Amino acid sequence: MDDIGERYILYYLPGTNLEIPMGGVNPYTVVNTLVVMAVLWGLMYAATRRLSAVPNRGQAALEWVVGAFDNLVASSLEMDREKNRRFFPLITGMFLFLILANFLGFLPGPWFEEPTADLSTTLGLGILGVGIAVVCGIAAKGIWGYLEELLGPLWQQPGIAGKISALFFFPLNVVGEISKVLSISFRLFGNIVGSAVLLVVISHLVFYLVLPIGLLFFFVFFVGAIQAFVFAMLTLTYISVAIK
Amino acid sequence: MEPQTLEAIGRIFGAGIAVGLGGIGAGIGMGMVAASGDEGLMRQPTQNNAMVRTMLIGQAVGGGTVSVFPLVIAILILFMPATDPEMVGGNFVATMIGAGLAIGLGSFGSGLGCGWPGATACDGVARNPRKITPITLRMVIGQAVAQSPTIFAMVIALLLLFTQQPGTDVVHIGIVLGAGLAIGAGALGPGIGSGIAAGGGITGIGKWPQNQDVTFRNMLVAQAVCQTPAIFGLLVAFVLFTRHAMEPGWTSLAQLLAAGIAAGFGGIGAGIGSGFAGETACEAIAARVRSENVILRTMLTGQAVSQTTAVYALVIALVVLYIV
Repeated sequence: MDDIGERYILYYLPGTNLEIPMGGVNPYTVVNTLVVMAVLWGLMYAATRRLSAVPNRGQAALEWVVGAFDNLVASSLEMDREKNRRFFPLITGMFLFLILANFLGFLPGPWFEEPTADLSTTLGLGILGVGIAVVCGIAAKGIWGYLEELLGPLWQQPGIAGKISALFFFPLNVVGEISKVLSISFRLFGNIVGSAVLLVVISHLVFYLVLPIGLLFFFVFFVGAIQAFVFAMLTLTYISVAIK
Repeated sequence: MEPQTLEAIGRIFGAGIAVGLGGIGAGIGMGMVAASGDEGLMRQPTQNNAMVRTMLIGQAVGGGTVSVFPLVIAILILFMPATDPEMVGGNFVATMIGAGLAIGLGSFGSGLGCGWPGATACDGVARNPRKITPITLRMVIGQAVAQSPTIFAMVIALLLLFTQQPGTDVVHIGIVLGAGLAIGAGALGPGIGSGIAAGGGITGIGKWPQNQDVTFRNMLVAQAVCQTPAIFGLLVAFVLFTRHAMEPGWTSLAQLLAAGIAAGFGGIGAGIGSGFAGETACEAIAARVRSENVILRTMLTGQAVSQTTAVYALVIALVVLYIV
């Protein structure tokens, strides 16, 4: 039982006494992340190789995805469209990477683990997203404007009561920023690990007959796609709340 | 006591807790959907087929799926072989009860919560029968998102079952019961809350179908934020798994149990409460798309403040484990 806790929270560097918190380095994750990146690059390359005014099937699909996300980012940030395009590659790239990473569980074979079933991946992406939101917030409002936001909604009111309320709001908001990272990363991680474990156990219970196929499609494609979308949307929401 | 007697006690209690608690929420949720479907037929008696279809999909994806999870765990609890039948002791009993608590309490919330999107979808189809496809599709996605607390609970229940240990060890008993309570009770509130938030979103989509994309996007965000307490419960359960090296004794048992109870029960109110914030915010966004940003900001602030209690509970759980 210790090793399960350590598998997910702490990881010992092999051959040493050093503890790496939150997962450590798992070679499967690194290799599978590279596989997902290669597949994504290959798909993009294949779809954009022969661009034409009358798109072929791959180009049409890609145009649909890109157009949908362009609209999504634009309507969520509501600035002028050209300025929004700064965030468009981040959100779309995150979504496409996560959806392919979650779909990797569909491939048979023990070598294919979803990279998102490792806390290191999700925590890294969570820190990246929330960090970008904080940096963009500071860039948009200035360092004092950002701090004022942390001091709570009553800070700007006249009188001493508003200033005292900052004692309550400041720690709350700081913890809130940290819990954003925790919640966004553990949500993805928990859902993907949970689906994988569930699938193995139920397949074992029904002797690998019929049922696992439907469940595989439900968990891998449906839950995986939804969670990838939720992750990208939450990052977009954090950014849009921070910069306005 | 004889090992065989202890084994039977553990299996019986664990399976009973799992299916008993797990069935309550799903039963109520499916009833809510059926009630709303009947009410819809009262308003649109000619739309028999559409109404029944929406109602059945809502019940099957909501309560039906959620109640399968405790069933699977109960079957495992009843029939999984003990690692060492001669050495079954308190650890085995505690593991079975812990797994039962985790999935029982954990699926209670999602089962109940899935009733809201189902009920509001029936309402929306009664209002606008031609929009059955977009409403049902988004209802199913909302219910699937509301089920992720149950999936977290399922992970912990399965981990507990597959790491059972022989003999009796106070620290191990504390860990398994604490982890079960942390994720079980921790998933209860968020399951209900994210269901309520989805209900608000589906109401908005039913009333203002032209704004369905914006509403749907904000519904997913609202639901996801409601689930933060469940994630704290999952975190504490994983942290508890690393605490095997505590010195054996009643103090350690009390610490481990207290951490589980704090993280678990501290999240119930926060989860349900931020669900209410999400519900009204989704409806408001559907009605006033142009004010999306200010409504979203207010919702996020309100949810963050209402989740203060869950953050306090997490802090206390970690303090109890590492500092006291």
